[in-house]
Amino acid sequence: MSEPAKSGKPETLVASLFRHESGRLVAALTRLFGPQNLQLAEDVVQEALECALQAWKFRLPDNPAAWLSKVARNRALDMIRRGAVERRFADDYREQLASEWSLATTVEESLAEASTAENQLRMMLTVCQPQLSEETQVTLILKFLCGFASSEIAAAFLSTEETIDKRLQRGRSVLRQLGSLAPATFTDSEDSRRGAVLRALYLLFNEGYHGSHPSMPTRVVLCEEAMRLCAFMTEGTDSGSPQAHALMALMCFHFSRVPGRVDSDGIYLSLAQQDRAVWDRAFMERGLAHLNHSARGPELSALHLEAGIACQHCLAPSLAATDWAAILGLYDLLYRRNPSPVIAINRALARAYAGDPKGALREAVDLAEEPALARYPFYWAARGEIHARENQRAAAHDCYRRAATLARNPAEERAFLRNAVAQQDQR
Amino acid sequence: MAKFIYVFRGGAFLEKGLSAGAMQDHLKLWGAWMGELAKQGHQPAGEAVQQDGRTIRGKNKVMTDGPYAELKDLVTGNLAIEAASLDEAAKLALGCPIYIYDGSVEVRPVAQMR
Repeated sequence: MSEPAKSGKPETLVASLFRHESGRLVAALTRLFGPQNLQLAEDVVQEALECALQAWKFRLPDNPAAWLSKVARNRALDMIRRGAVERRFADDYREQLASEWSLATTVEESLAEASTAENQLRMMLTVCQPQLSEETQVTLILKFLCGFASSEIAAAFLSTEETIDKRLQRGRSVLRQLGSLAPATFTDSEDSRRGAVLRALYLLFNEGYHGSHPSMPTRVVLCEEAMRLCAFMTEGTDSGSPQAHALMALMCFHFSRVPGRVDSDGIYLSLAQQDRAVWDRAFMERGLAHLNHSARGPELSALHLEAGIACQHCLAPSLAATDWAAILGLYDLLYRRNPSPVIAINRALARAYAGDPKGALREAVDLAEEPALARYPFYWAARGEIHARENQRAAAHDCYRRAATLARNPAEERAFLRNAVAQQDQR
Repeated sequence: MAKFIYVFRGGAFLEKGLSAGAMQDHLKLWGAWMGELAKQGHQPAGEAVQQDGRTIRGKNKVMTDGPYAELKDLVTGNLAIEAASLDEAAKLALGCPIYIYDGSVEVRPVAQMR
């Protein structure tokens, strides 16, 4: 969200102001123009930003966000007046835009700061159409809500600009069929539209947190964008959704651990190796507050369980003093909901720490048959850790080496190799 | 101290399709340069101009819409500064970020009235 400018001349711009204002204005204008005129909304916003680039080079305006809104409003009014005859604007605003009597007020209202949260939420719901793949949904979020260019999205996803443009094209063609932005009201707590947005935001967060980027273990900006957008769900008209709060809690807990995840050489540290003193308390507090909110209502979603697990890790003073029994219980519930091999290997690891290393080892070895895990580096790393807890150093060493060969980037590879070497040293 | 005018031509403003992030990054460079000029006591005071406008030319005072210069020669602003000499003023202009987007800075001493 853009911060309101304080009185007096701002010395510098709020970080990411251009990108975030771009997202805010594109959503506000698409609400009026309709998704079929998305390109028109983008053009108006691009022009407003270009004007700012020219006008602000010697001196910033008192309130940059308000300045941009005003330029965008004037351009939008021009566009609507010129196109009023031949263009079909948003179904739910067509009448207000057709009459000079209500035109200016309607445009003003949509661009107002007070409408931002609703506009952003409606835009997210709109781009998460069920007929679009999750990757495409995330691409559209990065483009239209976060203000990233194709080249920047391609860099974030280790993809080519061509692939990203194809996704955007596919997204645009689906959005063109819609007459207006999706409504921000939900029928019930299980509304699939909300679930789709939460899944997309979680995917975006994970790309930043567990991403496969070769040189940057954590892309903080992607995590921050996922949390910023999720806040439109937890704070806006949909503030009652326990699932949105659960996702926010989960992301805050994970994010609080970013400062301890890699050492000074950029190599991942395992939970046991991390210095818990550098974990970000402020994000933990935020996570706890959202976890509390998420507990309202009878619902216990997978997100609730994952947030609960992340919470246990955050609260624990050390690896040994972690409530592993609670974590194992949460993994059991998670596995019952979704019996996936990835959850199973995590549950086995929790079992090893919860005092049943033999049972854990049996489970881990059995899982080797799973095709989904054979090439999953974290399966081999977790299995290595379980062997290590049983003092089976040679087996642990081999598992870590295997994980290293499957690593997706040098940071992962070096972390696995270091663990392998540590096993050798202790033999 | 003497007064100088920088005349800016071209630059990022004329570059179409820059990403929001790239625009903000570029603006940050302008802010840093302007801040440095002010800090060193060069008293920068400038005005940016829009791309449209009118030109009046000749004995018959023919008025046309738009400056119609080649884009790279289009005036995009001017800035008055104080400096000890033309050499110093020109040296200070090297810190301007306009060259990144192929723009130019013309450095002119303001004519002395006495």
